[in-house]
This record gives sequence, structure tokens and C-alpha cells, in this order.
Amino acid sequence: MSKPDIFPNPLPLLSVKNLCVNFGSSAHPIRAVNDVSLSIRRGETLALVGESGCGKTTTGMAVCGLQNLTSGSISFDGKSLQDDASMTHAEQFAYRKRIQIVFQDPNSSLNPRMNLATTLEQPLRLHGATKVEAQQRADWLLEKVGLNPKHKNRFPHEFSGGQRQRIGIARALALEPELIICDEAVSALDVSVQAQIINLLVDIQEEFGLSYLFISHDLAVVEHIADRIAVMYLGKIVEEAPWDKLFSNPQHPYTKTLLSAIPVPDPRRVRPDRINITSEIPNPISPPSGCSFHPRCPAVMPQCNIDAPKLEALSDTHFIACPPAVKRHQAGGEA
Amino acid sequence: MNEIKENILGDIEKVEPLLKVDGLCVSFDSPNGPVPVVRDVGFYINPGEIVGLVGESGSGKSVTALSLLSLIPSPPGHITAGRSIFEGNDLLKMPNKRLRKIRGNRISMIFQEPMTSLNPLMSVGDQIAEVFRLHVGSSKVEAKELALKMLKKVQIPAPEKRMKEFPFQMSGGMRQRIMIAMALCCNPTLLIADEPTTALDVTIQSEIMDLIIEMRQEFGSAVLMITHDLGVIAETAERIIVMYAGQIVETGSVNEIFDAPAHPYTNALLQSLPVLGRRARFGRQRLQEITGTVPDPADLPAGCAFSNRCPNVQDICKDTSPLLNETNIQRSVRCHFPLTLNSDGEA
Repeated sequence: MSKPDIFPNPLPLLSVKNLCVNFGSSAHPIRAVNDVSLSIRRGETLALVGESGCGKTTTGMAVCGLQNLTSGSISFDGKSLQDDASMTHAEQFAYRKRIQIVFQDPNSSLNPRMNLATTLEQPLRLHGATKVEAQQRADWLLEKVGLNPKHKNRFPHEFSGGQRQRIGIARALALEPELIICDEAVSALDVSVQAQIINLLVDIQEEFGLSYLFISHDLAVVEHIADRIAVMYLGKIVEEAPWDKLFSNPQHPYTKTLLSAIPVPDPRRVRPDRINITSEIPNPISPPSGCSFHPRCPAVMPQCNIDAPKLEALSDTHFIACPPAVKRHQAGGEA
Repeated sequence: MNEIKENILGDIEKVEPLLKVDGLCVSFDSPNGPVPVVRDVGFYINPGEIVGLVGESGSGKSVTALSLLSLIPSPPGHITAGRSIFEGNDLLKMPNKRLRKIRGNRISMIFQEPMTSLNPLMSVGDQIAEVFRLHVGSSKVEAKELALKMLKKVQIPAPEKRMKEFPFQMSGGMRQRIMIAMALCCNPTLLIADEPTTALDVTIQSEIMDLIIEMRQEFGSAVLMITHDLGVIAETAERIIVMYAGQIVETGSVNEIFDAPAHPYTNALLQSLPVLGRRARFGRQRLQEITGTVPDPADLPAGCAFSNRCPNVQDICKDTSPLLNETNIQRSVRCHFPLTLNSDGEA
């Protein structure tokens, strides 16, 4: 399955620059997202991976406008989504429909008192479709995601988990978005249903040329679906690389640890030495000084607790935030 | 067939399993009458071995485990048939008072969400000490010392300080360590671990798995590992039991199940998983889907429960339930047309 070649347009569809989101009081903020920059081109899937509490969901929420930014900027198709002066309210409204989101838990993200027809037609009507148009589009959407349009009058509780997730995807597709944020979109599903939804996501991406920001903690799913991967740890991106590079040649100690910890369904596989990290994920209220991974890092160096590392380029596409690893890489120790 | 059966019986007597479950049936009351959620489940666990119980949500794996210790709330749950022989006694017929001496002592359990299974109003030190007070009859001081020793065993940093802390002050991984410490206090011969790592992050998950395996070696407990994660099973279990819609559909050694799954459901499950490294080797291939969804236990298909999703379904599957066919003591499959058994007679 090859994707259409990526696009003459050099301008990324989504560009996030120095995004910061703080929670709590301004005196003692929790830096949930701390200086995150990323970009997604048209038709591309960028996966955001990391453990719980690393800020990946908050980043997704900020991108689709469900979370206020503390600082930084998000621009979509060349236009800033934050700067109110540059865009009228109506323009912002029109932009918003181009970014949609699929949530993890279809039980809590669908309105239990709205039947399928209303769930799908309401956003269409809000954005100016006539009643007939909206109905036709809803039928078409249901067919696209593999549901029977005859079930339009049913309510969410009448569907199984996998079907509900299909509804969530149909709803996200309704307004012909260009970017869909999949926030752990397959994590809550049973194994036998997960494959259906992953295939559906891949299919609609090919059909509509969608871009995905695919937020997940499941690295096996991410390897299957992503073009590029950004690894987050305590609010920061620590490594970013094309999927094949990240899995075959991870450079940041945290990425290596993460990859070595994944259980693989193959009993005969000799597990590559599991990199054991002894301590727990630090409390984001008082993150460690310097590199926030240093207390757990198996390759910690004396200077790691002093300077906060910045993302540095190893190649055009591979970035890491770990000065010792960059040095090792440049010395050619680990190619 | 008869010969094989005899062999099986012979084998069982030789090994003397620690736990032998036979024909366990559990149903839950519903407005439309009782719904069977566990149907004729039988398996055994030998001393010191790790057995994986795999299945999707609703397959009855947790209910099976809870029923063994009479922990399902009744009503609505009822154990309608079956035996569960543990060290010579039937747990299902045992009066509650005797059972309580076994729970947490000879058989203990760890659950998925440690926060809901720990007492939020009691320091973890006291909670662990309570086990020693109750089951071992230690004095207060003794119990405290033993509790501290357990915390050290499960590698809790700064155990003296942690003794006085409450569950909410700890991280998820730490709480699961506390649960494991409590479960192992009395040197149980059987540890039931119900999705012990599902709520944890992957780096913490690998630590907890290592800890369970280490503790198994130290305490020699057998482990019944319940999970939906085939990766976790592949890395820990020695034998696997696969459940689907309340029934056991396949059993076998971990290598047999992963190399040559005999039941179409097991096979489809393994095929549908995105496996790390597959895309790098073979390019991105479409994942094999299992069509449809897990059937509602109140509305099971007639015949084989998997018949409405099975790629190899035949007419007989739709009206006759297949029996669990045993090839040998540890290998069995519930299918009219098993995949590997078909071609060469054995898996």
C-alpha cells in the first residue's frame, strides 16, 4: 500500500511552534506541554507517542482548539489559528471544521441522547447544509465507515464498542476535514475489533487524502500506521524521526527504553536486552532539572542534570534532544 | 479416542495438578432470565507454572477467576455447576469461613486497578501487616517487620518511608507493587493475576511482569495470568488457555498456540495484531480483520459461538456446538475443522 507521493506544496498543513500549555496556578504551573514544535504535511500521519501524562493528549486538544495555549502558535494551511486580529470569527469557524478529532472512548464522546442521524447531521447543518443535503451526507458517511444507514435512528447504546468508534469516525469525517486528530482512537477497543478500525482509518486516509495526528501509547499500532513519529516525555518531544528510522535506529535513551519494554506476541523471540529503568515517571509538578529523563536514564552523564537539552538534527528528518547521544552519533559510535 | 482419554487421566494423576477446574458454569441474572457467561470451563494448573488465560472483554475470563474464589457477587451471579479442586478440596462447596482462610493465604489475587483494590484510608504498611496478623497470627510488631520485608522484596524504594504512606500518594506502578507484596505475604501456592499490567504504562508494565516472574521463582507460586494482551502472554506464560464467549476454545503450550493455532479464532486474533517489526520486514500490509463483534452472551449463535465470524464456517458449525477435543493433556481445541489438526493429525 503505497501512499500518493507527498505533495509539491512545501508548506505544511499544520505547523505548531513552541507550544506551551500550563495547568494550575501561574505561580506553580504544571507544564503539561513545554515548548513543542511539530508539523504535518498533507496526507501524512504523524504519530505522537509517550506514556500517560506526557502531554500528548493536551497537544492534540490544543491543535483542535479544545485547549487554550499558554504560549506558542498553531497555524493551519498557512494561517494562524490563535491570532484573533488576523481572522474574523466567521473565518475561524470555517477553519475549525477542517480539523476534527476522534476520541479514545466512544462511550463518553457520543451524546447518549442523540441518535445517529442527529449526531451526524447537526455539524453539517451548523455549517450551512440543507436538511436534505445533511441527510444524504449522513447516509453516505455511514456507508463509508461500514455501518448500515438504516440504523440511523438508533442511539449510541444500541451499538457495540467498535461500531461506536465507527460513528465517532463518521462524525469526524462529516465536515470534510483535512486533518483528523486520533486521540488513542483504537486503544479502548478489543483486539479483534481494533484491526477493523485501523484498516478503516488507513482506507479513508487514502480515499480523502487526510492527514492524521495519531496519538497513541501503543507502539505496534503506531509502527503500522505512522509516517513520522514524535516521542514525548514530560511535555517535551525528545525524538522525532520517520517511522522506519525510529524503530530500526532509535537514538534517544528514552525511545530505546520504550521500544525494549514492548511485549511482542512471539514466544520464541529472544527479547533484546530490556533496558530497565528503576524509578518511576517523575512528578510533572516538580520536573527534574536539566533533562527531565536524567533520573531514569541508563546512559546518564554528569552534565545531564544541568542543561535542558534542545532538539538537534541528526539528519534532515531525525531529531533528538540528548546532547550525549548526538555526540555519540557524530563520532559514529552508533550509526 | 478412548485410549487418548485414558492417557490423559493417567497423566493427570501422575502430575497432581494444584488446581483442577471441571465443568464450571456461571450465569448472571438479567431481566430476561439468566445469562450464561461462563460455559463448561475446565482446566488445570500445575504447581509452579504460569498459565495464561486470554480472551477479549466479555469472554468470561475474569468471571472464571473470580468464581474460583467465590468472589462473584451473588445475586446476580450464580455458579450453576462445576468443581474446582484445590489441594484436594472443592473450593466451590467450601463454607465461606474456610474459604476465607484460603483466600489471600494459599491463593491470592492481584487486580487490574490497584487503586480500587487497596484501602484508601489505611497506610500501605498497615494493609500489608494486616495480612500477617490475619493469616499468620503475627504480633503487631512482627507484622510490621514482615511488611517492611515484603516492601523490600518488591523493590519499593525507601520502604521505611513508604510504609507510612497512603495509596493515593503512590504512582500506579508502585501501587501494583504493593498489591503484589500483599498477595505474596503468605507464600501462596497459586497467584491469580487479573490484567495486572493493563492499566500501567509500557515501561512500568515490563517491570511488573519481570517482578511477577521473579517472585514466582522466589516463592514457587503457580500463576494464572489473565490478560487480553497477547504480547504479555507470549513473554510470561508457559501454557495458554484461550476463551471466547464464555467457553475455552483452545489450550496449548505457548509455542503451540503461537506457532500453530488450531482454532480459527486464535488464528484470526494473532493475524489481526499489528506486530512490531512486521512493517519493516514486509511493508505495510492490510491487517486481517475479524468481521463482526463478540456475540452478546444473552444471544449466542446456535452451534459454535464463533460461527458468525469464522472465515472457515461450514453448515455443521451453525447448528452443532463443537466439543473441546483433546489431543493430549495440554492441547485441545473446540472446533469442527481445526486448522492444524486437520492437515497432519496433530498440532
